[in-house]
Amino acid sequence: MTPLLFFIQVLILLALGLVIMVSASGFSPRGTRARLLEMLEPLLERERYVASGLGWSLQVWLSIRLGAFGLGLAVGTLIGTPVVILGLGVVGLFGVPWWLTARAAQRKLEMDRALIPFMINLVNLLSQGQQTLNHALKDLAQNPDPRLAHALQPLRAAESVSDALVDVARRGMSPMLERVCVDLMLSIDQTPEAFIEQANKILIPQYDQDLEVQARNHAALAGGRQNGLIVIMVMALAFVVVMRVDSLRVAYASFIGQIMLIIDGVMVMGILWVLGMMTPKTPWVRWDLAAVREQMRKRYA
Amino acid sequence: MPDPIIPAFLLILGSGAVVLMWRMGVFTPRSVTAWTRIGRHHHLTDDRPLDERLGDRVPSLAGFFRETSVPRLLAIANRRESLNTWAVKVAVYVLIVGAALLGVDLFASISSGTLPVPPLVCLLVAGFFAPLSYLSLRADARRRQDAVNRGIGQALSEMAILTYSGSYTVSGALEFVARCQRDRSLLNLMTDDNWRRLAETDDAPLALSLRPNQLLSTVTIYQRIGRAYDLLMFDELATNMRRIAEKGLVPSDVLTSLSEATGKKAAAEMIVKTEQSRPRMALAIGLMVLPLLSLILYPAAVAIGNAFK
Repeated sequence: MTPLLFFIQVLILLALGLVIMVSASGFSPRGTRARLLEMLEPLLERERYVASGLGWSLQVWLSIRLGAFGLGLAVGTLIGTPVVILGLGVVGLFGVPWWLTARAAQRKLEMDRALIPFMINLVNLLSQGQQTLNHALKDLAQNPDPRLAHALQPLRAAESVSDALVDVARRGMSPMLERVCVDLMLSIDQTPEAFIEQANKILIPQYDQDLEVQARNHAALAGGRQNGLIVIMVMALAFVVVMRVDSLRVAYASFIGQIMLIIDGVMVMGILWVLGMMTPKTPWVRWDLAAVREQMRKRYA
Repeated sequence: MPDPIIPAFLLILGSGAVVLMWRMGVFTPRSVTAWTRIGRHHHLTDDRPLDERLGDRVPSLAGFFRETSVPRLLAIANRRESLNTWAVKVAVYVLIVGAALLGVDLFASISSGTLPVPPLVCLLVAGFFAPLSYLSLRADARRRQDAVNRGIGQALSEMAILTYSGSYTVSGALEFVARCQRDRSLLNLMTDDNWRRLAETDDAPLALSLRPNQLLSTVTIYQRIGRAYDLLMFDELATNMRRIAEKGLVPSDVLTSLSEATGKKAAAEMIVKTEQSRPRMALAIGLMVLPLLSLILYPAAVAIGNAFK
């Protein structure tokens, strides 16, 4: 028997075994699709988070990402080699959002910082004893802190404060704002005196603590991003220096030279990934405000 | 030099046969076999699996078996499959990778005329997917533990609000917040008796005083969940609920204090993690030397090669 024939027999046997085992394990394409959607959801959520941090809609943000990618490809095409086209495309696709994400995170932190004065103002309004929580919230939303203005917009002309709070959390897309909205929704049917006591005893100290952790998270991320920037700058400088020397550039004109450039690029991206992985983060619980509203309604049903 | 493969194969086969005979009781004296049969009939023998019996004798082994047990990890990761289904799935992955690698090898051999890599190496590489699947299962279990702990730890002040007016008990408030979180890990654990997958039986001294059909208190259930699933927050909650019941404390005050303590712990952990990450980050930046050297040295290497030509 020739080795080739033997090899093909082994492959056929393996394939048959595979078919039997796949059918035994209950594999279904629908399950795979659902899992794929489940995997894509966090990516989309992240894009929504950045877009809302920058004050843009998801469509605008995705258009900017695609535009940056297209611009990178166009500039690369003008310069020449396939690797440069690919490299600039990658810079457009990942570099520009990476730079803008820092700004989005900073704006979100500023919005979170404005939440504590907002709660203190709310407590002060209720302490005067002339308003309910619903009215005080609507009042505060009429003339809000600029950092919260975009998120609080649904409260301005809201008929139902519960529904408006769901929209506020959806617009703000910040874990801390979500938490504030949940707490307000849970306290909405309590007396103003009870809310004031709870806010002073439970909520405001809790938000202080959350903000501290949030600020530390932000500082750690900013540090990681700075390290990444150092790596990119040094590598970009080295690349420009090498490409400006004719004798060095010639080596990279060949096919193997282009592959070497791709390997270098992959190594740099790997270092950035390692830096990202090493940056400590404290994950937050995300609340489903619509579910909170449902639960509250069921409570009285 | 003689080929060592055949003797090695025979040795492995022989060892396997000896182990099989030992397990079948071929070497066990007749009197012992008879006693075992009588003992089993009267429930006098220890019929537990080998790992549990070994664990009784060597406590460190018990911990190891508990940590590495696949059925336990499957329950913690909330995967529906049994041990056998998981094993079949892993075998499928290994076969897919093996078949793909062998296919590539085959096509490469057809185009070049020789085998680039021996088929055995392809199968060995595919075999690595078995430990990878196990590691992925462990990571899943760890993620779920973290998600549940976080789900409780970051909802304590909401639970305090719910219990403030006395309209909710602590367990009612926990169920309420579990239903309101986007991550369903906590809710999945608490509903449909999912927690019974691991925490149904408890070998702690507490369980000795309970009849098998006795109804369990919420505190006991939480304590069992905490122990069985290694969930610190369930343990903390159970301890505090016991304090509330025994000392007559106000639930919202206890939950507020617990929330404060948990928040402080999270902040302290963040500081420690940040400090620990500094040297690691420096190391990662140091890795930049690799692409930098490659970028500069490759043209030099090409030039030297051309000079020798």
